[in-house]
Amino acid sequence: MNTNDFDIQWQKRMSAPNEVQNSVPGDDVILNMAKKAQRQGKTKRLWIPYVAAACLLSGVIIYGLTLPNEEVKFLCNSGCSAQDVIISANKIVNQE
Amino acid sequence: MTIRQDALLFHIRDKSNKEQAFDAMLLRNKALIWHICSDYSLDKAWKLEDCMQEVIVSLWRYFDTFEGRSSERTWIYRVATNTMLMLRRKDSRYPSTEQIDAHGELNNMSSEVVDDNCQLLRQLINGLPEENGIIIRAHLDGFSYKEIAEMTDLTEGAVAMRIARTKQQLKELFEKEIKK
Repeated sequence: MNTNDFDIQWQKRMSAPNEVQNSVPGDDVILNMAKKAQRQGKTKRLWIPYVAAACLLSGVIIYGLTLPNEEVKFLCNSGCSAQDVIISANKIVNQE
Repeated sequence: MTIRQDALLFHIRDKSNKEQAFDAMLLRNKALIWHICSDYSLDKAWKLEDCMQEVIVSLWRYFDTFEGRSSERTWIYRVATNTMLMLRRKDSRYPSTEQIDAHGELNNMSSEVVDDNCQLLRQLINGLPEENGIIIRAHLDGFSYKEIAEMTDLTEGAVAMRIARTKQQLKELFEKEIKK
């Protein structure tokens, strides 16, 4: 068999999705990953109102808000982007 | 829309069952997600498990936006592919995606040793411009022209044409590399 042949490699690549079956992590690993993702989502939802409220209380002008670097780093570590916080804060301002 | 997809949408709307519906969807499609992660982390820049976690985070983030207009499998494929492309763009350890220039020349082969011809084909696919790479991978992973058209917002005819042209381009590059 000529293994240099493009078509043979093409066919090999087509069967790749089936070949990974044996190395797929077990259900317990996948479910742990899902729980982690879900927890991260909840953390994000929790922190947005807190940080937005802190911005309002400290008299920060929300429109055109530029967050200090440390705060941005903190937000990123908490799983939400600065843009998310600004959008959230804008919503609070618009509601009032 | 299939019955299972209908049931999935019902569970997404019913917030109390959202997490269970998500878990079940992941378990049904874990092999597909694993394959996409392994396909994009070709140069071993990341651990596969880390890629899988990132993809699952994205799937959870966008879970509510799944409207059943495409199949569950197509939706997962699109979200997972976009996540892997985003990781690739962010990670400087990963070689540039613009490896094949307008003349179809391979510019910047990865420094990783190409150990066999299968790996060579994978590297050539990896070097395709982003959109062509998505289309050709989806085709190789068994998606129909219609499903790829849904993923990429192209017509089925355009998808078929891109696949034929890209395959020909890959074949020429492959043969050129083999002769070296």
